Amino acid sequence: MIKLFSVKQKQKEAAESANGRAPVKKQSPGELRVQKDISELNLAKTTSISFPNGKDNLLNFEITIRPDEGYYQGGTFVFTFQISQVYPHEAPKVKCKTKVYHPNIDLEGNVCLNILREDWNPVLSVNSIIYGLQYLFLDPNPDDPLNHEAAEVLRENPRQFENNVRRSMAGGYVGGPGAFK
Amino acid sequence: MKKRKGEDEPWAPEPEVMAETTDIEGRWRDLDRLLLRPGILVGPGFEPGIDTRDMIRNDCRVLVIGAGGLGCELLKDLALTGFGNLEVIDMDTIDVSNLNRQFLFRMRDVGQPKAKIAAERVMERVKGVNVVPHYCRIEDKDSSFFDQFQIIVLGLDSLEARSYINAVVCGFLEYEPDGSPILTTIKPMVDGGTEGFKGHARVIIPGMTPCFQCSMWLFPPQVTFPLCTLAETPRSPAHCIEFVHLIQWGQDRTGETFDPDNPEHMKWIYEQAAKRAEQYSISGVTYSLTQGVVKNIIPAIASTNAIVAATCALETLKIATMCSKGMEVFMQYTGTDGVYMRTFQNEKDPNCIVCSAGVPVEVEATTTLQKFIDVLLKDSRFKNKISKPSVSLQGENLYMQAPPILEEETRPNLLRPLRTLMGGEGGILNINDKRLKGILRVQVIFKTTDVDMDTAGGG
Repeated sequence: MIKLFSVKQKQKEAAESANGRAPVKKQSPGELRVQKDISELNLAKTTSISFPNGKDNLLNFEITIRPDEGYYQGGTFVFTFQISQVYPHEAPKVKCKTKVYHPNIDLEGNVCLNILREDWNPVLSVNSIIYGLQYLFLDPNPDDPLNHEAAEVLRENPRQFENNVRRSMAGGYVGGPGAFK
Repeated sequence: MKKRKGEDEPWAPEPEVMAETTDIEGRWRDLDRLLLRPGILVGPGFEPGIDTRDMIRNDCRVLVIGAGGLGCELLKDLALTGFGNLEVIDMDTIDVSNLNRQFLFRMRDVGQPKAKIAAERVMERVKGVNVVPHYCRIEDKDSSFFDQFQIIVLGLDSLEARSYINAVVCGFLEYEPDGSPILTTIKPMVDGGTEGFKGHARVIIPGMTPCFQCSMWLFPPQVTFPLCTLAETPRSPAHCIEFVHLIQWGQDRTGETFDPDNPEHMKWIYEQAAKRAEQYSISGVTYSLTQGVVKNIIPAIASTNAIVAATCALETLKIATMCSKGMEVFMQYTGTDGVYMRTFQNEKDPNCIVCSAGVPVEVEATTTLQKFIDVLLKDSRFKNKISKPSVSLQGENLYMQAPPILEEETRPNLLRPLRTLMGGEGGILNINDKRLKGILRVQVIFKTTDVDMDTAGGG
């Protein structure tokens, strides 16, 4: 315990000296930590990052993935990342901006990736999430689907799934009960 | 051996002291017992006397953040304790569900700002206290607003809000080059929190005790469900509610941002969740569970709030007056089976990214950012700890080693004088590097050189 206030010192004097301080723009702990993540990013040539709100707002950025193998080879997929003030206590909020025919990504852009939800822990980083997203395109998982029709096709008929992916990436229509354009 | 005056007699305040007040007789009798006489249990530097009592009544300014369950209790306790200048800030309005414990409010106040009504009621009931309400978010206030208070007491309900105010208050903290905190920059906080039958109270003295960020890692992670479980195999009422909240809302009400404080939105979630639960033969979806899952609300109990707030008010009195030894530093309360309180110490994180001192590094006043980085790389204290550092100042990235798009944008800063980039004076810089586990805080000190008045340029 330490004595901070002396009764002999009138508070007016204390107030005067305090008002001399210029207000400084604060950085939240989340911003400080994401700065570290971003300054250590190890992006593959299939991945790029952009900052729609400028270089000083690292809490909102976009990651673009262009898979060069697998079902999604040749496609371009953009993900938005939103970092909270208490990152890394909370996982970043990641959504897919590009419409994609994928068992683990739905039409609103929700991404089913374990480390974004129940398996997130503060030791992970933006890099880990990017690896996870890349993996989704290399190895789509029909057992944990957000898009049931796509998952079913992948399970029953991988050749058909491949065709559907090609067609959807070319802007075509993939029919079925959850009609995908 | 002469007896000390009054050793055998029951203590009574000096007659002059009583004559000065216009209050009802004996109003401050209890407070006077604590503040007007010395003792063996007092804090360091305690100055007994009416000056101390007058200081908390007239000069000490205390801010209470939150006018809800804890806030109402805190305002009452602090006002009755003798603090004469209180201010309260809360962005919420009064809801019917608050009335079981937020006792300053009545049915007729529903819809009114909590801060405004709380301030009015306390001033009505406690003679002589002044309470200034602020109906807004804490983020809407400048840091100079918070600087005017001697002590800040928190009655908040989220990690984010605590993290924010902690960053603001620790931002006032400055250190001497030897690493000791400058006492006049320390602004103490007393933080209380409650959840059902459990609660805590803690004292935060920035620079000396752990700040909120120092112990952030002790909080358990929030409960989240896999999205695919929500979509494919819901098993509990919470799954149904979360599915509607996170997935169905986007599908059925595209473009609308969900607002948890909008009763129509909450009602829609509840109704859709109930439908889904029926589909999967799950029981237990209620409106209050919906609120709980979506807003993380836990039923609140008046007694927990009363106990935690009383603890906080007492610590505030001790910090202001030193009348007794202060809490060190964290009190946990559990009331589920009986009553249990436990107070324990914990240590400040010496590498805390919000409150630590920063390693002092002296540089020439004219040094450029590139030269500063070179100085860091050559410094033996950082040997093997940094290889390609990125440098940032509060809120601004001065130089980022990666990714390429940011490296290009910040490269011109390398040639600029560091002092200019830092706004003309020394301060804390954050250094990031692959080899560092966390963030390295560096306190930059510009060497002052004697300036020849004849050759000194203008400006």
